[in-house]
Amino acid sequence: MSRPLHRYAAYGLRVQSPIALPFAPASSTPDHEPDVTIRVGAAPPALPAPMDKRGHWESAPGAFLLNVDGVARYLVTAGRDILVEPRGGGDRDMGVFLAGSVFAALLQQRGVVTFHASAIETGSGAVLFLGRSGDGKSSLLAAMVQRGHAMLADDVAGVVLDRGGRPTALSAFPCARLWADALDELGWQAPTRGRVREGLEKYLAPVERFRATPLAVRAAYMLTPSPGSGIEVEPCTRPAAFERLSSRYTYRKRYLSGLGQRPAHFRAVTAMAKQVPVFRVKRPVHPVQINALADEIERSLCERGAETVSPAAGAFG
Amino acid sequence: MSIFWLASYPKSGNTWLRAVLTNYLHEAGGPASINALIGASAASRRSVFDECLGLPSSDMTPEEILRCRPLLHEALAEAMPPPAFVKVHEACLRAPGGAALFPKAATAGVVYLVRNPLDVVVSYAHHQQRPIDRMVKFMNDSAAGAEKAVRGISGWLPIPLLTWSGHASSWLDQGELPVHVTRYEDMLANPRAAFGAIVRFAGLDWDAARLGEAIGHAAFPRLRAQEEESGFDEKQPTAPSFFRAGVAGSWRTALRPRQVRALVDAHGPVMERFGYLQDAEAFLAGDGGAAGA
Repeated sequence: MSRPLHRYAAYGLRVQSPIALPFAPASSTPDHEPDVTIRVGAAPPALPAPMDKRGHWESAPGAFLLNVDGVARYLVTAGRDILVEPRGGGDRDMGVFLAGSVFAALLQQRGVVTFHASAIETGSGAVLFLGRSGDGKSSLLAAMVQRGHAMLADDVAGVVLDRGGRPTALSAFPCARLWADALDELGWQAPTRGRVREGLEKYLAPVERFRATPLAVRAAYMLTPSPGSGIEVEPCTRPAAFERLSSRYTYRKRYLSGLGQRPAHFRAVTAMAKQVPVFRVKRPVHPVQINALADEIERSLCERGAETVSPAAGAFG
Repeated sequence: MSIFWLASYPKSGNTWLRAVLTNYLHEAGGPASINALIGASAASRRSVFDECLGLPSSDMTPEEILRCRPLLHEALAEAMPPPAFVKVHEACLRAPGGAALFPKAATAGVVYLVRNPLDVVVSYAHHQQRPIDRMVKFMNDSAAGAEKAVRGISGWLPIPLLTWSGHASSWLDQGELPVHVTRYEDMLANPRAAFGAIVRFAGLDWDAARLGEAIGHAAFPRLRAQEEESGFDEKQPTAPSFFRAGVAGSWRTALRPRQVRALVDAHGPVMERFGYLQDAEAFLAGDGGAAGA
């Protein structure tokens, strides 16, 4: 039985997929050939000549294999093709891993740097919220969207250098992923697309206020849960910013070596650390206080002369 | 390399042991910072899981995560330079799929710390800021786990604990991994003997003077003073302090007889194995028991 094909726009790429991805399809369906073609079929259990092999993945220049037990096996080739072999997962399960780890490998194959970050549009450019799993990137993104900023990315922010060597954030896809407690705290009213996966209290939250084109990066904030009850924003030195951006906040950093993409990563992270002001944001571990955090970030953006609300105002997210 | 797991039920002296080991191995003079202790729980951190395995733990169910953990532990063992200590509160289980959660190939040995559950419940209730009755129930629940929030996410993976005695039996009766057991009460009564035996079990170079110094630097009032001064990363956010009393026997005034009875009923055999049962029964038979519930 053949599956209907869906078309999406993500990270500036036209994507064609027989598996529904966890965000809204592209509004227009142009005749252009897709940049990325996802197919369903038998994937090899191993790469013929892996350069690196750990945990559940293997990588080699131009090739990446990920095995998610009970869900699917994914082969990513040349930044263009993704082969998915279902291994027990439904479309939603397969789509979640596709839109996350698998897409990150594909972006890396294309020389895009993947930061573990959400991103918004401000009057002066893109602002990244860097954080590890559980640090509060998505909640902060949602709070900023509620305050009128347009979303660029959630969880994985793709950054490239433009012709002038300036770090530029790609527009990912118009959906945030929020845990039930964050939805409650934010009073998020917009309908969700349901759970990210069965059994998880984490929801797909479509965001209408979305910027669909790339934008120069103007600032980055590193979210660090810390002991103590206060929220503090302090500038980070360039060496410290370089170190944090290149290790802690690079999404799936370990995929890079085998893919042969460390030089591109080094160039982009160096450009980020040199050109973009990076701040460390200490926030209490509990309670998270998303709105107080968003207040502090807006204050910091104001001090730096960035308008707080993006010009492209759309419907409320 | 392979890992020495510093395994214990929560609130059983694990952090104290890590403070002593850190100071024992600390090169610079003076006490080591409590916010840079060796043997951090790398195996239970989401970020370590995600980067090491290349999988997003925040999009995975607790069962899926647990299924992947044996592989994570092998990868950690490969990556860590010696001496590799990793604190774990997880029970020593079989992962879904049947593999040992703590694989033999990844393991150099296990230091298992055990503490009187009657004191554990008092300390745990303080740490979690929860009523003692609720923590008694928790310690008697075989489905109990730390970091089990379902409506949100923390930086930690879900940590399956089993019951208090289920936890102890899972580590002590597994029969595969070499285990050195130490009672918290013995660490208090004779720290040189207790910590010395652990240093030897872990194969560290023996230096008696150094051990004495390390025990001094990690003395309870000093740990608490450091926490007051600079905070402690590993404290439960809602708890007023991590280092609370550091003594044995506070249960005698903190627990009601029915709470002691509930723990004894659930964990009698393991309490007896470690010499905790007699005191509890004497308490129940004497004034404590007579005072009723």
